[in-house]
Amino acid sequence: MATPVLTTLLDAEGVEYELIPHAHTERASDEAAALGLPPDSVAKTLVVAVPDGYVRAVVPAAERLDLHKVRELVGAGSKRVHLASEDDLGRDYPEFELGAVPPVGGRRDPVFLDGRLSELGDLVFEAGSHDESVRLRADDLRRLADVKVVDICEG
Amino acid sequence: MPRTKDAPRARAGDLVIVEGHKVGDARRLGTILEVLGEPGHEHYRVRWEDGRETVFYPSSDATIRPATKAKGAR
Repeated sequence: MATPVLTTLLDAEGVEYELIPHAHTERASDEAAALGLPPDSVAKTLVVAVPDGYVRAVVPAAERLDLHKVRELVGAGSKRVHLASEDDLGRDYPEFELGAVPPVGGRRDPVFLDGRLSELGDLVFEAGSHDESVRLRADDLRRLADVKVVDICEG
Repeated sequence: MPRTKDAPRARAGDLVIVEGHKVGDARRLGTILEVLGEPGHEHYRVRWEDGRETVFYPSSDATIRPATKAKGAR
């Protein structure tokens, strides 16, 4: 089920959203299949460790994140930028199941939203667990967090 | 912003209408199956036209249309 830290935030901000239960999945592409949605309409959130903390990179389920692009965007230079480890996630995102961190909720990280997703009216992503998704307006996500619309996918 | 407590309470059978958010997005229509939550913080279990069921948390601009009563219904 959705994590309270996410729904509490959405409720407090008056955001319209839907919770969509689905079979347990571990990958965003499987989540899309479980929801009966095309993979390019479902978002996956990747937590990236950067020199100043974390950013949450939100990309279409079918795409791969380009960490080189993230490094350039955060101005990390030669410093290391990498996907957060399970230890990182367990320590700093205890509200969410491992691998199901949503773009918002908990820590207030900057959000890098892939441009293709920003063109969609609605975004669908894991609601902090592997068996429930949330659908909300992309515009609302931009209101809830420090969101930069960027090109962060490979290719 | 949470909805006000004096907003009319929806009931099972009422319709939910969600307008498209972008040009080209289709309007979505659903039927409320169950009203959840306290007055002022209601949300609904909804069956949408495509047959999916979700829990819908409306914003203040959501459209809830009362179910049409059959003639003679009280």
